[in-house]
Amino acid sequence: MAPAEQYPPRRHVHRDLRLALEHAADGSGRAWLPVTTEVLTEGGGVRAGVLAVLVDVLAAGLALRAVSPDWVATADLTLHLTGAPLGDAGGTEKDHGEAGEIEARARVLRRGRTTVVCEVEVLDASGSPAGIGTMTFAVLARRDGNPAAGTPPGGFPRVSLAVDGSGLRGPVLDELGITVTDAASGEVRVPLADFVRNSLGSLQGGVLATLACVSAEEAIGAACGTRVDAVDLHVTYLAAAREGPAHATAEVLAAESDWGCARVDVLDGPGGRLAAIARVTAAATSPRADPVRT
Amino acid sequence: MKRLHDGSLGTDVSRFVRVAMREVGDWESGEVRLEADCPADDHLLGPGGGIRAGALLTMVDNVGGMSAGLAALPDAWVVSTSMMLRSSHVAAPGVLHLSSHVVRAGRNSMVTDVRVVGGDGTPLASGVLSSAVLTPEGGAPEWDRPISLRYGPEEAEDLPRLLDWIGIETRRTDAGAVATAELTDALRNPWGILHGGVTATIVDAAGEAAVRGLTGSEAATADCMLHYLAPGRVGPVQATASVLGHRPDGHLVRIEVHDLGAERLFATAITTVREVGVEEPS
Repeated sequence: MAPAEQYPPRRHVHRDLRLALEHAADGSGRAWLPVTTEVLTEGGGVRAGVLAVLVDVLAAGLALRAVSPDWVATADLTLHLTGAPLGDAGGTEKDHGEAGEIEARARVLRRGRTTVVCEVEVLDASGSPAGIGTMTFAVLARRDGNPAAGTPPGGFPRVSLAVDGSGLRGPVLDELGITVTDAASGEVRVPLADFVRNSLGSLQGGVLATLACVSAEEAIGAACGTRVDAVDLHVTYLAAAREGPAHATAEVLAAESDWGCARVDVLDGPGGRLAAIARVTAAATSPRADPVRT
Repeated sequence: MKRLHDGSLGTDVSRFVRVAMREVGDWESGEVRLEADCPADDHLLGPGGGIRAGALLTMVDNVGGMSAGLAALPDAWVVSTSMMLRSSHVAAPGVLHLSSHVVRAGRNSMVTDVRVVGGDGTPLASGVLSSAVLTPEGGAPEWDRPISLRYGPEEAEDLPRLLDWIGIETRRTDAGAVATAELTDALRNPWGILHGGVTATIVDAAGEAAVRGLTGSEAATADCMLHYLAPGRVGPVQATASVLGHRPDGHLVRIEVHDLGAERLFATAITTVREVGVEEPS
């Protein structure tokens, strides 16, 4: 595992998604995700799980800033997509705010003694509202080994998490190592590698959310008889997934012709400790008629 | 805080939804599991003839909150901080069965998983309640364990509709809709603040009104993600709803809830609202 002071390591999901962050002086922030084919579903939309990674990185940074020098742990994450398309691949990270990037805008709604609540708006590549999310963080007393958050009081201008050579080398689910072992039951798993760890060494919250999305999509898709993509998720984090692999199973709660809902349990390691529970709604999408070129 | 030694009191809100709950877990070893029956009668119905989401959320808050509170004993109790409910099928009138268990009992917070099943065993809804652990003035309530409680009258005859009982008024706006209610003593929880289920019902009403205004169709809240940011203490309470978009599973609505008397935002919610029929002309 990479030492805390070197987090994230050169090869890490945050870097290879080429995320960029900006914190404003008033405690709000923005983040960007370049839209490439590697993060798209077959239907042409950006994967909800990838958006969860974006939202998590942005909101966690704001929460850390709000509680500094203490630390935070994600308690829950919700993401609600409006169903509008989320943009075309082909943009580059040079296109600040222009077509080709998803933008997230976050603010702290409440800074309490034991929790911080953040709200995040997601805008599509054209700048139109595409979703909204909230995250709740538990405030933790700072421990030795926590990386230095080090956010300047006045915030910082846009900075990219990418380094030389960063970038996905294939579909994001392959890069994360997510594999499907049984679609009908939503059985999926992800190994715990440095690529997907958070600063405390456990499975990164947005990656766990991605695992839950895939689990639900597989199970709901099998029940509905059509491809579906996650459009709404709620993840409650119960325990850090430190052992790996993390594995998920889904119970389909509703299956209509073009959407469904599932409860997902995410377990950690051979012992199967319950790491998170999720509820995911997924809806049918059609494959793009015109394949996107990068 | 009220001491509920004999379980015959409860809040006015829990008496209105007529929750009967019993403890079924191995409480002596720390396991907290409750089962509850809620006769979902006419006074709890919403548009389309199913049980109103606000009523379901109130049941979840009652049962899930009791579970979390029991897990916090003997020195503390809880207050709800967030509640999520996903409905899979319309809850038709009849007896609803709820089961809850605490999936995480922390020093500062509790997480309770709640399931709602119809009288025929059909899964109707699935929810998660998060609670903050607090120490009440005067100490935590005392309960005879395992608990067995029945709130409210035996019969639901002559009970007003839920929205009427709370006193919720809705109106359309250019951006969507607002729902408003006075914060009366009957709507407070044992902490003296607005009951979480009442907040959820006001959210429910606002979201439905926004979609009804947009579509001209009757609409019913199906899913809800609600965050309680601060206590509602003064009133009146106003929920402002705006429709964000439409998906195959319904319309996505964002709602902010303000305590107008305290001049602050105290809750936010995202709901999914589904059209259930043509609006009757008024």
